[in-house]
Amino acid sequence: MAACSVEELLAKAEQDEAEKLRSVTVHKELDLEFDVGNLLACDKNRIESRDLGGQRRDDFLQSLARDNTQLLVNEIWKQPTERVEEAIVAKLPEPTTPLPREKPPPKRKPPTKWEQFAKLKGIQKKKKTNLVWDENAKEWKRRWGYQRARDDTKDWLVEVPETADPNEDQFAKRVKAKKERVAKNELNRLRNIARAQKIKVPGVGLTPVAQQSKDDLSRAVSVAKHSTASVGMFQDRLPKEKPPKNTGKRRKFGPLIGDFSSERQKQLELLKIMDSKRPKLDITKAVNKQMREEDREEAAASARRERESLEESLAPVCKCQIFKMQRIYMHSHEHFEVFTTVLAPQGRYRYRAGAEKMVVVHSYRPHWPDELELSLGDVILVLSKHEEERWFGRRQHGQQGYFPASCVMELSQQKSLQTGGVGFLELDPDWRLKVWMCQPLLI
Amino acid sequence: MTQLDNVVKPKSKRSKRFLDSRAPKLSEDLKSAMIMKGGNTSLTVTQALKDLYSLKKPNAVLYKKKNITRPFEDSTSLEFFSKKTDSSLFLFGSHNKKRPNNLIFGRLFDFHVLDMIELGIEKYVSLSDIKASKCPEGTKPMLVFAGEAFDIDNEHKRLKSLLIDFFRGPTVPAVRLAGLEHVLNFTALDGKIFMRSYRCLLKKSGCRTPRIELEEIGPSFDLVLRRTHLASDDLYKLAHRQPKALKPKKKKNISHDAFGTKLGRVHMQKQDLSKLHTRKMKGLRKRRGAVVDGEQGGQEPKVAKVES
Repeated sequence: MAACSVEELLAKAEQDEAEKLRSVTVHKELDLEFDVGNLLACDKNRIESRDLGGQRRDDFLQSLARDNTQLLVNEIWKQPTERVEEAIVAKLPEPTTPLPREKPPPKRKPPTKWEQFAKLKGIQKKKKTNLVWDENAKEWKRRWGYQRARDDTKDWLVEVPETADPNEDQFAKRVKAKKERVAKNELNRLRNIARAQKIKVPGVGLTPVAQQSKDDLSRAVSVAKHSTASVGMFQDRLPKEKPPKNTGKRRKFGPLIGDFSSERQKQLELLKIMDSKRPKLDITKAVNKQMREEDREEAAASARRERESLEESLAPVCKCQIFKMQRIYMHSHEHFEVFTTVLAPQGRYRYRAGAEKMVVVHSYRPHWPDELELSLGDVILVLSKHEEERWFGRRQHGQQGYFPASCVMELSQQKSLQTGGVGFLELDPDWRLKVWMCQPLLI
Repeated sequence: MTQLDNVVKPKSKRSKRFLDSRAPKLSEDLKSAMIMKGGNTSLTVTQALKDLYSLKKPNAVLYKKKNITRPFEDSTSLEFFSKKTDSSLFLFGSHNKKRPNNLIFGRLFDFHVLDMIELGIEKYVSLSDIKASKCPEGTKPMLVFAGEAFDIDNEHKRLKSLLIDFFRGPTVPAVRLAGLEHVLNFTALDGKIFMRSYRCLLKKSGCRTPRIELEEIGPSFDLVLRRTHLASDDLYKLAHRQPKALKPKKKKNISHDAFGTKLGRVHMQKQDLSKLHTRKMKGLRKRRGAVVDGEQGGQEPKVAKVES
């Protein structure tokens, strides 16, 4: 009897408990997914799609939302709570739903050249005090910046050193030195940024100095020679000129102990080449060879054609030349800029001198550095007509350049035949090299 | 800001602070949204934008003027505005004959559009149309998504992620239980998306957890999915990449079993058993002056030393 009553009591208690919980329990086929950190619930159950209209759909949505919210609230109420200033607060876990970031994660600042060097040498940063004692002002002042201690730009008197020029302004000298230090620092900062981004850092090149030493001059000469070179042709050396220093390739050796995997790879590749029976094909070399052969054939064919045409008629032959305006070297630091006009004659050219004499009928002022100045009545020897409107020619005084074809008229054919004859002109490469220096710093 | 931006050095501390606040951070600030309208907007769209702004309020910028731009055709102006206001979420409203009452939800990663989804408003009830007491501004809402489409369809999945990103509010370590007032409910049903906003009433239930009753406060939308522009998988993955410093450090030699018991693995050095102190017995004691065996000859004095 007693046992029965116990069972009954237990059943009753259970029932009571269920009754209490009934108002907060919701049954779902599939459990909801919760992300309590975001106060988020996802219901994956299939919603019976009944054609509900207007108000009935709204009611349906609300009841669905109520059930889901109840489940979410149940989940939130399970979190540990604490009392903070009369309010009950539930601790939320970290959000679990992966969401994209707003910006990529911060990158580590790349080390500057100094930092790299300091790391290599084991130099450690020393902490300096911010304030230092200023003897003149009798107070502690900042080491740097505004109202700093021992500010040498604020001196009212500066001693002129014995060796210095008495007319020199020592104050101005200090200010200038400071400005230069700042500029140098800024340049280094930019170079550090450029290096970190793997942009090619321009060399400082030849900086202007007050007095150029012998070394500077020889370096300037070699730079100028490189910049005026054309198709492998350089200016001649002066009789006693020494060969330039520090040219050519610097040999680089791999470290003695280092990357074993790359070394292994190298050796294996070598062995592979040695082991294989087939000769190694150098594609660049092969292509170059092919190209050269084609060039040669073409040249031979054109020469043949030329000969034939010469035989056919004694018409003047003027071979086109390739004139290039090459901007070989331009330095971004505004120290110097070198432009060259390279008239690149490839060997000797034959032409009939008299046949292409022209008389200027309209005077012309040049617009470009490579153009000729034409004045009325000048006689011009046309060297090339490879462009239709702009011909290349030589004046009587030896000046050469381009000129517009519309400004000239041909001399009579007969006259030219009388005066002219077949002659050779050898084009000297040095003769036509022109160099404009934007700032005459170098030579 | 991009990497190249640090070429220009800030000239004052204030501008430096400003640039630092916009630089990428390890743990990011809350994403803010810019809410803007296109060249033409209907009353519905304008009102909808205002309502959504009031839901998102402390972390949103509402643009008052028109911006004649089409995000799906050219997103450069969006990227520009994003850079300007440092916000990576946007909501763009427009209205034209082809796409009436159009809302574009979108987000940006690294000032480039990551994904944007166009939704057309079919039915709209504004916040002010429903006469009920509202939730205070800036309440962190409870988000409820229902419908299997949010789990199956790719575009719906992305939309869900986007809406969570848009509406979730700040990430907080703790929440006041009485302050859980606002519920945003998104239901995917019959190819439409129903967005409802409810106020949550906590009723007594007789046990610890309260019973929930909901009361609609608006705004409510019936939305249809239109065009989408989703990020490629690579970009999406890249955008999710967490910095190494934020990942929890692995703890060595500690494991947990299925019941949550913490197990530790301890490494011990090899024990020298010869030096072990054992129970001494009178019977095992060596007698003084005993005859020493030939085999034990070398070891004998040592053992005796230990034992005595």
